[in-house]
Amino acid sequence: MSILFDARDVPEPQDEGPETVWALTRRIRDVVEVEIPQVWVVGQVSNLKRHSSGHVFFSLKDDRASVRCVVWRSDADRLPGEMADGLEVELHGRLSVFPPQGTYQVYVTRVMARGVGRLEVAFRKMKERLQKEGLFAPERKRLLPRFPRTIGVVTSPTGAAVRDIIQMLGRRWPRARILLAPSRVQGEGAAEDIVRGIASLNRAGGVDVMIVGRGGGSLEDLWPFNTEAVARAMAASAVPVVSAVGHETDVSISDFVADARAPTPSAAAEMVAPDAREIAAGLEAALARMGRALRHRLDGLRQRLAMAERSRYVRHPEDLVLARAQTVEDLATRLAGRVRQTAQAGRLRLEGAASRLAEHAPRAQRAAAEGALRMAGHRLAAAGRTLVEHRWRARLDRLAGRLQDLNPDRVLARGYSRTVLARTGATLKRAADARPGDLLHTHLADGDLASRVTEEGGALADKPPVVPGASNDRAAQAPRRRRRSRAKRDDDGPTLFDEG
Amino acid sequence: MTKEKKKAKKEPTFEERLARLEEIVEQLESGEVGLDASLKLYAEGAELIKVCRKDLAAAEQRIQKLTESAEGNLETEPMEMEEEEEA
Repeated sequence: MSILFDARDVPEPQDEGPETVWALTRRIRDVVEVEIPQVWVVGQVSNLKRHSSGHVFFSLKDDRASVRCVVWRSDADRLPGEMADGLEVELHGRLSVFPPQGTYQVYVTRVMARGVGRLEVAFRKMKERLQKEGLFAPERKRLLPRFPRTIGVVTSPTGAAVRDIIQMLGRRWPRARILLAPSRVQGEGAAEDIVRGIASLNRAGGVDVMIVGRGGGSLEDLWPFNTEAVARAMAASAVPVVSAVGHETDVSISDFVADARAPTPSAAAEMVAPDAREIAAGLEAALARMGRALRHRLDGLRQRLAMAERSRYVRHPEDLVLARAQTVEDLATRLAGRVRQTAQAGRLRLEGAASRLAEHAPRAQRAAAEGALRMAGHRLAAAGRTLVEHRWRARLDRLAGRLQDLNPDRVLARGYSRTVLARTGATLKRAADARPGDLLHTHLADGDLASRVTEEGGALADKPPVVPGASNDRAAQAPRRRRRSRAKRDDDGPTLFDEG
Repeated sequence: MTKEKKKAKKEPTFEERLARLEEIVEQLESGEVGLDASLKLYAEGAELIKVCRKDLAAAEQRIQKLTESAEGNLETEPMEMEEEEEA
């Protein structure tokens, strides 16, 4: 016989048999209320809820345990203003048992805020660290595939979440295969399950996108999706991740890290899969568009054909030839005319050019040049002669004139005389040359005179009287004119009279 | 995801077919394609539409569970959905 339990553990049987649950509970209450009449405890507020009745409920917790707390409506106003989840508080109260649920709770009489709870602080630090590492960065987020063939899901195999997802996908996109990686979604071991689930879906291969999430719940319930481990697993996933945790208002770290966030699991399914009905409608539309486009095309072509058929030349093709032939004729005539014209014009120009050319022929040109040259020569000679004559004549005239002036007869006529020294026979130029007693012959204009020098006469010898135009006056008069032709004459007297 | 049709071996994906269809419609509507080419395109488009329609209609939802054995191997098995499970 197997014994299920040790006989020693069996309580003393009561007279009436086993006690009722109520009796047991009452006994527990008595013990608790006596042993722990006053409670003074510190912890972190969690799951704060204000009931419609006015009473406030929350859990006070640390990393290992939690205890339920109640604040009566009447005391609720005196709660610290910052009362909220995550707040570290010190509270006073009374411990009691709530029989209907078999739970114990603290009836809180006083709450004092202590600041942010240690757990909360740790959480915030972790979140900050992940953010600094860039895990939340928008650039990291990948686009979800348009037409996934396999959709992965990490969630509880039981529960509303997976059912909602499957239903939604079944409606919209039944083509896709759904691959579920079952996982706990709250409490102990949930974070590890989720991490393992994400890894499995990555390893399985062929998964185009995955949904990781769960339905609604308390902050504690959702806590696994707030852990660093889950965040890092999502960040490391090669398969795009959609985070769908709790309700619309619940935001967890997985929501920040994932490639996309959906407010609920159903919404995630909608996000991940296209609507097959929409696509089918699109296909119909495409068919209609193609048909229209083709018809349009054909209509256009038909119209062009009809127009072409109506055209004159299709109905009377011979007209085309005629018209062409006519044009050819016309052109030929014009061409012939033009050719003649051109030839004519050409010939005229040629002749004109030829004659002009002849005018300019070298031989004619040379003859013309020679003629011109000869003429020029004549003219030049004539000019030269004239010039020479002119110049020489002038000079001659001038000389003749001067000569005239110097004509001895004229000179004599003016009153000058020439005296010759008989002794020598030479013309007397200087008084000093004549000695007293010398015989002199004086030639005047109309005749000659003979005379004898009377005396040397000092005054007369030294200073012969200056008679205008006389020989001794000439030095003053003439030298300038003489000087010009020094080669022939000397300054002292006219060479015309010189005998020696 | 590539858009070009691979050689005979690889079947084009649903997405690739849709992309090709979009291309065809645009070309036909542009009116720049010759008449012969237009008719060919229309035929190709109609065929694509037929295939895609069938593809969408034939779909039957497959749900599988992925588990890891003790040795670390991955196994898939079909999964039956239970009705009205407790949340």
